[in-house]
Amino acid sequence: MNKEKFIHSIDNIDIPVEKLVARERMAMFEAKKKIRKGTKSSILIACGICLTLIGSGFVVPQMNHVLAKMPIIGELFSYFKDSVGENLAASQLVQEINQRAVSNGVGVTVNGVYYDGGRISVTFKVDHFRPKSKEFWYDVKIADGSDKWERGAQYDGRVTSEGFVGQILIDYPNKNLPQHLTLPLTFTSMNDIKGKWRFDIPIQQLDNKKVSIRQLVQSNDKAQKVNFETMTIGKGSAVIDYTAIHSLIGKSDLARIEKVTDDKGKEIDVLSSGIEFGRKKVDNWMESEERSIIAKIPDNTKFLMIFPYVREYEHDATHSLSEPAFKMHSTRNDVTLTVEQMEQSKNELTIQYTLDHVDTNLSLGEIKNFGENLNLIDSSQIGKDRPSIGHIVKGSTVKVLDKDKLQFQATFKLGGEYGIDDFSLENYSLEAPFSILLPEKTLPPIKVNLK
Amino acid sequence: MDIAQLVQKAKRGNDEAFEQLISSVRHKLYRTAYSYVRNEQDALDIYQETIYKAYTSLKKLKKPESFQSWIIKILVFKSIDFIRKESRHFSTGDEELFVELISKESTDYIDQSMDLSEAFKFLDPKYKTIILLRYYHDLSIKEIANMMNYPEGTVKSYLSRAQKQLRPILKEGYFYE
Repeated sequence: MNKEKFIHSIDNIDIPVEKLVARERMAMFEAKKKIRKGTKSSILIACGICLTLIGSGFVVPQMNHVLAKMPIIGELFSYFKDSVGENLAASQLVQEINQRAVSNGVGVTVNGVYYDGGRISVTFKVDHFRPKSKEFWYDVKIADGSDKWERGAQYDGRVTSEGFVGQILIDYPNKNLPQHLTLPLTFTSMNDIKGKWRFDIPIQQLDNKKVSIRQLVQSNDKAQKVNFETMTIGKGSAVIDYTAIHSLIGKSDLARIEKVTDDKGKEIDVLSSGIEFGRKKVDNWMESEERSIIAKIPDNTKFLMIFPYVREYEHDATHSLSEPAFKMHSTRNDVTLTVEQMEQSKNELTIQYTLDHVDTNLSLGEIKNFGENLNLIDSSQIGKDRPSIGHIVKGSTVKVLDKDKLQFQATFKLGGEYGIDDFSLENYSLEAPFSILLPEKTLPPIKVNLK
Repeated sequence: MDIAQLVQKAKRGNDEAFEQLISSVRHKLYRTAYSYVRNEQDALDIYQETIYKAYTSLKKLKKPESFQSWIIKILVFKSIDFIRKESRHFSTGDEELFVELISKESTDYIDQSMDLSEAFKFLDPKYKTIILLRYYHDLSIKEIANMMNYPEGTVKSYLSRAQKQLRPILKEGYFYE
């Protein structure tokens, strides 16, 4: 038994095509309705229907009722599986606020905020809202709506027994963490109801402790370095700030934190790894200022161990198929691919190849996977971001010929829906994704004393 | 027409282009959803939500050529979310039964005819995801790591744990990795 049988077992699942097409139409219809309503309701917004009530003094009786039914803050975090929020709520460190805005008859109340280390959470509840769908979703603009805020945000919305609740989690997008800020939030839709619910939320960072790390670790070949700078230890989470330094050949490499353990060897969850603040070239290096956020460090922890790693990248290599046998090289290590022979039939091209100098830590499966990701590409399309359909065959079926010598046979389907229109060995090249054979580089762990 | 061009057209509001894009992934998306929930109705619901989400957020797709992995990711997250919400497809009871099944020395205990889809049903959703992405969608370990934001080591260990979990039920080495 093998992978083919697994695929076969899934491919045996019957496809209810008509039902699927009907569902597609329904989904598109609902989606279009949502988008269309957006453009129409802007006139209503301009009429000044929006109303923001701040503080309970403005709360009408109806709203008091709404607030009374609101789940308590701690429960909200358990809906969202936010352990940081749950911990903070248990210590009464979540700032409770009641800012309500109404638009198109729907009320949105921001009821809780926390800003711990580098993470901000805003929770809210929606009232007078009767969507047709059993789902709840919304659109919101954070601050100026720029990419950096979008990238670092996670949105959740739940339908609970007590109504519609949502959470926006934001990794603060700048390196410097201010102690307090006013965060503008503008909701622009609640399911298919468009509107404008605008809030300016005053946020205070919870007390934290800064720990200077000042440790630089590097890979054995010194091509990658991570300079750990500081930790900001909040009440329910902690921030690790560092600069990843890559040699220019690895300017797109990614430095990440694999795990963090406490003094008892217990893992602390990494909540966000590799929040990047921008890359810049410094002499012959590419420097990237980054941050990772981890969950709460247990009280009385004496030290932490941080385990960094680097994922390397290189451009896919190509070689013309016009030669009957040839060799291709990785630009990042010594791996070579030697094409020994090729056989072309009407609908297939079979290539026999051997790999040399492959990292011994890679499994046969991973090495085989490299072959499954070989492409045949029209030589005139090399370098294009998106080669046209009919000018590329993506992937092959790989047979292991000799697992000790790492000799394989890759078979490419030239015909069919994803085939090549007019294949010839003269005009086509083999494209090899050597990145797959670059093992992750583990950097030495660092020890951070907290006491 | 090439996928990226279709995405560009769909982004500009061309529904025909969007339909073409969906038809190119229809079967794979449905079968993936079905693998999680094992019933047509729920798989159709997940499928519909995925298409809705894809239509409303297509503008945010930065790399048009990665449309397929982008929409698979939406579906996978919708499926996991569905299981989490419903939590009826992988109840603690199932898990206990599973542990019992794999801990039995005697393979006679296990029905000879238990097929892969049965065995697969018992897998933890996170392992299920990795197995589907790796073997059904043919993504590389690196691609899965990027998609799910896991370190590659985690993907590898999930793969190997999933394979170990499937093996006793299937009696034969199912995957050759």
